Formats: sequence, structure tokens, C-alpha cells
Amino acid sequence: MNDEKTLFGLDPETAWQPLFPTPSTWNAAKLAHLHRRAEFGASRARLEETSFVPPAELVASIVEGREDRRYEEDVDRLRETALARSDIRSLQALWIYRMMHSPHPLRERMTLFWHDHFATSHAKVGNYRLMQRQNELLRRHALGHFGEMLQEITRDPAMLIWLDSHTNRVGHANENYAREIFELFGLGVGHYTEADILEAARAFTGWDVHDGEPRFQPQFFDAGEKTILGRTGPWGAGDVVRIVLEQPACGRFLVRKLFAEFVSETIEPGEDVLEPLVEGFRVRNYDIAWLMQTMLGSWTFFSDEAMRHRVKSPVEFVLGAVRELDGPAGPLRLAELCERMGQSLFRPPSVKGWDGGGNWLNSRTMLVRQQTMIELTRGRGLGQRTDPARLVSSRGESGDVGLAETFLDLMLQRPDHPARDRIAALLGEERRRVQRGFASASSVDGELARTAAQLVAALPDYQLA
Amino acid sequence: MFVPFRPLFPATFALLVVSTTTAVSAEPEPWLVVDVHRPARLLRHELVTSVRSALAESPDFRDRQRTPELERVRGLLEFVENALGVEWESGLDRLVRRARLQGFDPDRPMANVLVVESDSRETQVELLNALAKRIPPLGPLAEQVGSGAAASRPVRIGPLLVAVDGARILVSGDESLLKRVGSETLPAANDADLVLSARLNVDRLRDRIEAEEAFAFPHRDPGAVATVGGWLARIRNGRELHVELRSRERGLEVSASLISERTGDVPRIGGFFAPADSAQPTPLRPTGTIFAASWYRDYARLWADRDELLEAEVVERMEERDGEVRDELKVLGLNRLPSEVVGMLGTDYHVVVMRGESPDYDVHRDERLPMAAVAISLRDEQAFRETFEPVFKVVGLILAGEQKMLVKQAPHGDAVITTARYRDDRGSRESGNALRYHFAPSWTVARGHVVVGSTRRSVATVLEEIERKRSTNVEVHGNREAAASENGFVSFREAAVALQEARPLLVGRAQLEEGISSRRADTELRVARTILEALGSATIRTSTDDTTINVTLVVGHTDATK
Repeated sequence: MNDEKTLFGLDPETAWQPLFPTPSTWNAAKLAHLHRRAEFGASRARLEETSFVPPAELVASIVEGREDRRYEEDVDRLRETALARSDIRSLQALWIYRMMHSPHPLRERMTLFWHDHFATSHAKVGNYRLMQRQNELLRRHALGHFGEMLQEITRDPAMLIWLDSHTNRVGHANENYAREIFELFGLGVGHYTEADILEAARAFTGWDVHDGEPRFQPQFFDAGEKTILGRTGPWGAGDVVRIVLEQPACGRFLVRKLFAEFVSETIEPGEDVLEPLVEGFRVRNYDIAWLMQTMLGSWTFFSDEAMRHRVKSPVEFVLGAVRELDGPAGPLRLAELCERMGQSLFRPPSVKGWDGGGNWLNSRTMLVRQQTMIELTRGRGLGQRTDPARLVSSRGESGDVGLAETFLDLMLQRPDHPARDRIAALLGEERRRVQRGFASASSVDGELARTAAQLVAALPDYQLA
Repeated sequence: MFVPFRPLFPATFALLVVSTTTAVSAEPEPWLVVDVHRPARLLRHELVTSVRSALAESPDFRDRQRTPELERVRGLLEFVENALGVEWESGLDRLVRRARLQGFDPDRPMANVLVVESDSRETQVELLNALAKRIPPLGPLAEQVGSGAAASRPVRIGPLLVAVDGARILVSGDESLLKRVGSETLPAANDADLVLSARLNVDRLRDRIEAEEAFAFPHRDPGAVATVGGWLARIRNGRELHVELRSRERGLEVSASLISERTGDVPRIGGFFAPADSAQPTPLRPTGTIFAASWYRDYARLWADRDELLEAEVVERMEERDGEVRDELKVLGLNRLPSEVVGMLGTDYHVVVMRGESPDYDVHRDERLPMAAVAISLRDEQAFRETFEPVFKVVGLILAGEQKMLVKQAPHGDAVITTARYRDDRGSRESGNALRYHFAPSWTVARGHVVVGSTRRSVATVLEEIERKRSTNVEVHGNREAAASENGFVSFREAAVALQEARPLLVGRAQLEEGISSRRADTELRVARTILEALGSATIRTSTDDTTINVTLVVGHTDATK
């Protein structure tokens, strides 16, 4: 491992201790960091509402979420509406709607993580209802116990079709699912052999999909003895999952992946640093909620090295902007824009999911990010409810520097950002252009607010979560 | 919010926005005259106040009031309030008792003269003093008027000249016109309800090069001739357009008259508008009608006159195509030229959109959508039936085969309605658009009409309405609406009910397309319904004679019964 990337010589004993809030460790930037990573971002109102809550308490409430029966009923109806439209864009929009309105945003954020982890694409499954069913499964277990999720996903109809398990029969074993449960879902490369894959494939035989439901057909199951990861027996699908969960590599693999997703994708922590999390995760029967609460509440999570050290995925980018601009915005259009930025929900590029990180950014996707922000900030169409003009002082007394600071603060929590003066100068030029006739100071500031939001969104920092 | 907001921008102020300056040569007559009489009355009209109070309940509308565009309007209204010390509606009433805009050259905006008369000279002084603070060049004008001068010398502000004469303020880009118009007295309204009247010299407008294309008659486009040719011919030959807006007790009325030359560049199109002595279509408005339109058109006559209306080459091509289409349609069992089929149709056309009913399908749909039907009168019902019966059979077979629809016939009185419906077997919800389960295309030939509708019920309802008109001695072909060529009717109240019936669909759409929560979508829907209920209904009627087309639109609670 590169020493420079080791997480600043962390002491494994203290790395995951809860953050002790002091004026230097707990401020608006840290608060926004938590909301950005765990909830796709926050509106100004949400930031104000949570600014007086101690971090440990806030993290606990984010992990626990909130129940809202009306929201659930609402989403149940909307699911049927989206399914009746029979197009993938509507399903994508339904999910984005949930990310936008859910009373438990971390659950949606985790669902997105698991969708990338158990990457399944409609391109092959070809059934909207099955894709939605898998999405519900991931949501149900998103903050539950990983073992239960792995058991269920193994029999999930969309997954059975996606990795050809429905054609996996005795004598004609298909290795796809066996390979991925080891390599991508449970252990990671280097913790299994080709022989383990062949034997596990036999254990996964006998399952297919009938009338949208998983079905076990004993006549197609290979009931013979198999040796998998050193265990021998007449194993079936559930046994393989159990054996995977018993491997020490399983916890390490998942914790490292969640660390990269929620703490830092540029720093590679040593095994000893992660070990307290891995051990706690294992003894708690892979309790994801515990792991997330520990990770998100730790001082490591709030360290400067963790902040703005992840490239926002397209979904994080659009949802973050909508939240910061006090949306909502149209989910169908947002889903389309996400796809143009490289993240088509329900259609990951391969079983490995999205490459993520720096791969999200290239000349084409940066252009789409800019276009997205222009759409969201122009006060009409997609941006009719995310108009930055509504966020500025109603009396128009901000001035160019004030406006630049307002949006640098709102979107980057850095009113003193080095780009402030340059943005203010550009706003000054724009002000001279728009000032005319009966335009009141507040209406000019409103128009400039749109420009200010676009300029801040074009900064490199804004691409980082 | 589903209803796009359009700010009510006082016309008088909008007219102040003029762009360039050029000299003008004196013209004897203006090409455009717009007179406004106490426009603030509109703001206090029951219809407008109801809509405004409903809009105030809309979260989207409230949000939009915080946008720069509306801040600008608010800034203007606040200016009026501050200048006159009253709320802006009263301020506007005081500022604009009467106004007249005259245009003397359509190519030169500076050749316009705007005269606004306020309720008193004192109001004018107050306004000018306030304006002078924002627009310093107005200072001398304010001083002159403030010192008691009855009339001021014009003051130049950018390209415009502004002068004050008593309670009147005059604005123009041309000094000679300003002087000339300044000496004229503003006319009084013809009647107490009149808010706006406008007179446009179409001749002058038409002679402009840019207008040539817009006014051109589509001699090479048979589709355009058939759909809007009559209108275009009248406009092409038009001389003058009059528009009036009246604020009636229960609604608003807009009327427009286009006066044409008896002869002009373009031939009158026979068969497009109903001749005064011919049968007129009476509107069909069954219970639950949201929208109904009836119009006269004699396509057989249009076809017969094709040599006069279209270029020879186009006519030749159409005639060739006429034969080709006949050959193509033989596969459907129709061995007639399309022109012969057109000859079977009568002159009355009706479209009716009415509130729907629960879909007649096993697949459950939460929403209820409106249904629609089209009815066309027939010259010879028996001949039409004999010609088209084999066609309908073939169409039924195609629908049953390719579209996997069930086609069945059922009697309705002495008529037979054929209906094609989708199969709604288990699982069909997952494949294809579930909205189709609101539709079951149906048709019949009966009561002298061919009727095609979106559902069986829509066809049956229209048939019953035709029968009802007959039995109550109202001839559907009868000359009930003297000289009315076209009738349109919209019931906003029924539309409000239909909106509520379509709620699940609309709320779902608002969630997926706008991203708003169902709670907010419900609020916006309620606001939209309130606005529709406030609007009541609208009727539009077009009548023609030898020289004039009159169009009258009435919106409001003026049509309590059918």
C-alpha cells in the first residue's frame, strides 16, 4: 500500500470513535458533509433544522429514519402508475422521486449502493416488475442484515435471470452466479478458487423463474456432495450463502467497499484500521445499520481528508443540486440527465456496476453536468421549482460579493472560496447587462442568483461529494 | 401547478415599451387605433377576482411570485402604490380613465402615439413627481406641470417624447404626431360595458412585404385550403378588423369582426362557410359535455371548385392520387374514389368531448378519463351504409387479428353500434400502456350521421342527443343558428369535475414529471378546479355574411343551461 494514501496514521482504537463536537470539529461544512454523503444533500432549511443537533444524535436519527404512512401509501400508488407506463424511464423516475421525498433518505442512498453492488440490468432481465421487485428487496434490507439480503438476492427473480441461474441445471451447471457471489457480492478476488466456483455452481442448480416468482425444481438440483471453501456436504444455494458469510474475508470486503463509498475513495486504509469495524460488523451478524452509524458518526468520517474526496455520481449530483436549491424537480427529466451523465438506474453497464470515481467525469459528462445546472437554475421547465432567485434576499440588498458568498455558502459551505471575487466580478458584468427600466434591485438580484448558482456549480469542488 | 401563470400586465404600461427611433412622414389616417376605458374594472370583475383568490392558494403561484420576472411586475405595482398612496388596483383606476394608442405606420414604432387620461390633473402631478425620481429627464416636465401649467412642452426621454396636457399624458417618438393627436379629444365608450376597442386597417398591414407571406393563399396546399382556406381568403381580402372587449355582469365578452372586400385577390371559397340560406349545424351538447364544436363545411363543393382554388398541377396530382387511393382501398372492400366518398358526406360536423364513465374492462383503473365522439351528417345514409358496411367488416377483422381486439356489434334502439375492445387478460397491465383500457373505439351509421367515438357510450350518447334534438323539434340540420357557421362550447365546470375524475392519473404524472408530492399535487389540482369553476363556461360563435366574419367569445357564468 502506498504510505501517502494510508489514512493519516490512524490509530485503530480511536479511528471509529464518535466525533466529539467542538467549534473546530463540528461546523456547517461538516454538517453539510454528513447530509451530502448520507442523504444526497440538504436544503438550507434542513441544514438549519439540524445545526443544533449533536452529531451522534443526528447520525442516529439519519440511520433510523422516520416512518410516514402517507408517504408509503403514496409511493405504493405511484409504483403502479410507473409500472403501468411500461418504460424503464418511469421506474427510474419513481426511484428518483423516492430519493427526493423519502422520510428516510439514507435508506434510498443505501439502496443505490446495493444496486451498484448487486448490479442487475433491465437490459437483460427485460421485465419492469421484476426489476422493481429487486429494488424493493434492496430497500427492505438496505440497512438490515447483509446475510438476509444475500440469501434473498440469491433467489431474486431478476438476479436469477440476470446471471442465468434459471438455466443452471444438474449436469449443465452455469457458473455465473457462483463466480459473482464470491468475487463481487461476498468475498472479493483472492479468497476463493476456480474449484470453489465449480462446486458452488452445482449447489445453485434447480432454481428458475415461474410467473414472476422464484421456483425450486428438485429434479434439476444437483444433490451430490460438494466441497466449497473447505466445507463438504450436499450443499444447496442457502448453504453456499451461509458458507460465504462465515468467511472472515466477507466482512473485510464489505467494510472496505462501504468505506470507499461513504468515507473516501482516494485513500486506502490499512487492514488494522478497518478491523474494529469488520469485527463489530461480524459479531453483530452483519448489521448494516450499526456499521453505517459507526462509520458516519466517527471522527474519521468528519476528517478533512474525507471531505470532498469523492466524485459525485450523477444521481448524487442532481439530487444534491435539487436539495440545495430547495426543489423538487421532475424525476423523469432528472433520470434522463443521469443517464446522459453515465448513470442509468436499473441499467448498470455490467455485473460490476458503475466504475465510479474519476470515471464519472469526462469532457462529455462535464458538459451535461453544466447543462443540468442551467436547466435547474433557469426558473422554468425542469427548474421551475429550483429557481435560485427564490433563495436570495427579497429586498435585493446582497450586492455581487454578497450573492457570490450566498451561493458558495449554500452549495460549498465556503463563502470565502478563492473563486469568490472572480464570481463577483462576473456577476457585476451581468448586473450591468440586466439592469434596466423598472427592474427593482430584488429582481436584478434574482436574475443574478441564477447566474451565481451556475458559476458555483461549474467549480471543480462542486463535482465532489 | 398545472395552469401556467401569465402575469396580468397592464396594457397601458406594456405599450410604453417602444424600441427604436425614426422620423415619420405625416399619414392622414392611423392604421391602428386602440381605445381603453377604465381597464381597472377588469381587475375587479368577479371572474378575475375569483381566479386571483384561487391562485393565491397555489404553492406554485406563490413560489413564482418570488422570481425576478414577477418581482419586476411587483416593482412596477409598488411604484404605483407609492406614487399615489393607494393600493395598486385603485392606483391603476385613477391613472387610466381612458387611453388611446394610435399607430400611423406599421413599419415605424416611433410613429405611435399613446394618450393616457387619468382621473384628474392632480393624479398626473403625483405620478410625474414619482416618475421623475426614477427617470431624471422627466424632472423638467414634473416642474412645469407642478407649477400649474395646463400643458407642458414635450420632454425627450431616450427615443420618446413625453408631454402633459391637463389630465392627459402623451407619449410618442414623433413631435408632429404628438401635436396633432394632442389636440384631439379622447372618445367616450359606446356603451357602459366596453373596456377595449381596437380597429386595425388590414389593408395597410397586408401591403407590407413581411406580411405578404403570412397572408398568401395556399394555392399549392389542398390540406390548408380544406382546413383554413375560407379564413385565409377572407383575411386576404380583408379591409378592416374590429375587436371589442366588454365586461358584462356575469362574464367577459370578446367580439371580433373582419370586414372584407366583396372581390379581392382570392376567390370566395364556396362551401367553406355556411351560406345564409342554407342549413346550419346545431351544436350537440349532451349532459356532461366538456367541449362541443359544430361547424359547416361542404367538402363536395370544395372538391367541385378545386380548379379555382388550387394550381392546375396540384389539381392534376390530386386527381391522380384520387384514383390511386381508390385502388389501395379496394383491399378494404371499398371500390369508390375518395372524392365520391366525400360527396356522400353532408355539411354538418360535430365534435363532442364529455365526461367519461368507468371503463368497461376487467383491468381496474382508478382514474376516469373523458370520452369523445365525432358525428358527420350524411347526404344519403343508405348509400353510405351500403358502401361502408364491407369496409367496417374488414376493419373489424384487422383489429381482431393484428391488434388482438374483440369486435362486437350491439343494438342501440334501431341503430347498431360496433365496438372494438382490447383484451384485458391477466398480466396485460404489465405490457403496454394501461391507459388503453379507457378506450373501446366504436362507430355506427344512423340518424343521418356517421358517428365514431372513443367508447361505445360516447357513440350512444351522441346518437341519443341527435334523437333528442329531433324529438324536441330541433332539426340537427335545421336553420336554428341563423348564419352561424361555427359554434364552440367549453364547460369549465364539467372540466373541473373531469379533472377530479382523472385525479389519480394527473397526480401520478405530477409526481413523475414535476417531482411534486401527491399532497402538493392535490393542492394544485384543487386550485385548478376552483379556477375552472370560477370561469363557468365559454362559447364561441362564428357567423358570416357577404362581407363580414363575426366571432364572439363569451367567458363566464353566462350559460347556465344547455
